[in-house]
Amino acid sequence: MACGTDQGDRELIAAAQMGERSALDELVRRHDRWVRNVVYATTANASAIDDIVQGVWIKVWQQIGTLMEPSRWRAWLYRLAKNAAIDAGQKVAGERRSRLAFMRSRQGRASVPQPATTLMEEEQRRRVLAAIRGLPAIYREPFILRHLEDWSYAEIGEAMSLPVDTVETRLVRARRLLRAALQDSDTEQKAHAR
Amino acid sequence: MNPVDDMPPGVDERTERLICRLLDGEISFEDRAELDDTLACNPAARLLLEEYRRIDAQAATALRGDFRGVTTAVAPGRRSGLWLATAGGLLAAAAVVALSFLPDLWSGPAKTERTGPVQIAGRTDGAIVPPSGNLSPYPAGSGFQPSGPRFADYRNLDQRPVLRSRDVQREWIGIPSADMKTIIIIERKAQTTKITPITGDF
Repeated sequence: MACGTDQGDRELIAAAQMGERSALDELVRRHDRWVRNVVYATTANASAIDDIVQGVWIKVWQQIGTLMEPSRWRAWLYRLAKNAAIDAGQKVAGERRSRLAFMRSRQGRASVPQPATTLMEEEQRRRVLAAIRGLPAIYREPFILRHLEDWSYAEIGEAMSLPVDTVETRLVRARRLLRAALQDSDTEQKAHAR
Repeated sequence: MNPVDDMPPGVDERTERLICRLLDGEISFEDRAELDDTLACNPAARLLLEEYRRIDAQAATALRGDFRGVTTAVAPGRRSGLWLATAGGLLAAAAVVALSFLPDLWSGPAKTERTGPVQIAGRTDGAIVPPSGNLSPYPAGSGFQPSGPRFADYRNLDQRPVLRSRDVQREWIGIPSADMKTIIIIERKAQTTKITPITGDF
């Protein structure tokens, strides 16, 4: 993934600021996946991404005139995406509670037998996701950006407006916390199995 | 102690940092040599490297599965069932059909200009009937083979007002029925299509 704002982006941003719709369409095409990653890193919840990302691009269209430094495009876009994700996260948290209740009520009915390995893999995946979601946001976001699509420290730093050293420190701490959380989860599971 | 400061046993902060750099592909040649020396004489460091490597692999798999699994058009386990697949197909077909017949209305009746013959199926009693000739309502090459009715009634569609609105990734099309009692709202998103009839005396 390229770092910084390339010349093509600058021209597109300038055109979009002049109201050229096709320029925005091209920006969407170029950066939609990136925005999705940012939203996912913020919410750690994939179910609401489509709507949130749509809202982000509407805001981009409405506010692109306020972007004074096109070289800061990624940082600006990151802030819009992150804020939209946080706003949506508060709404989703309430919905998730009711959905969980609904899922639990259905669990008794959905009794399709599955191979043991699939169940174990699914359980493992669920535990890891829960541990990642349990990380403090300042560690979780760079960790997800790094592991979802192998973003470099520089790319994460550029997006989050952080020095590379800080990104590195946060990733070290994220791994440390994750290791401890998974060990706790293992211990709990073994105690539960006895 | 704050769990963030809880170091893995037998490994100092510098070594842990170098291990993370290695796993993240950010390690320099000099750092790599230093880490290799440490790993050679420190079993705890080797253990931590393997542990972090495993956690990274599990995290990447879990995150990518979660991210891609839910953001694809149909999420297994969340939206399933033959009826939904059929309904989804029909809804998508409706949007495809509507779009294939409506581009000339995009800018309003005054700008109507057809680039080819458009045949409209229909008869005066309003029944759904096949169109004359060999016209299929589905665009050639679309590959869509619906299980429902193969023909739809598009009588006078191009003479009725059609409302369209769109934003960056979503488009809405309002198509009034012939009796103007119902407006079908077609909402097209990048991955889904929804049709909602609104009934009233318009």
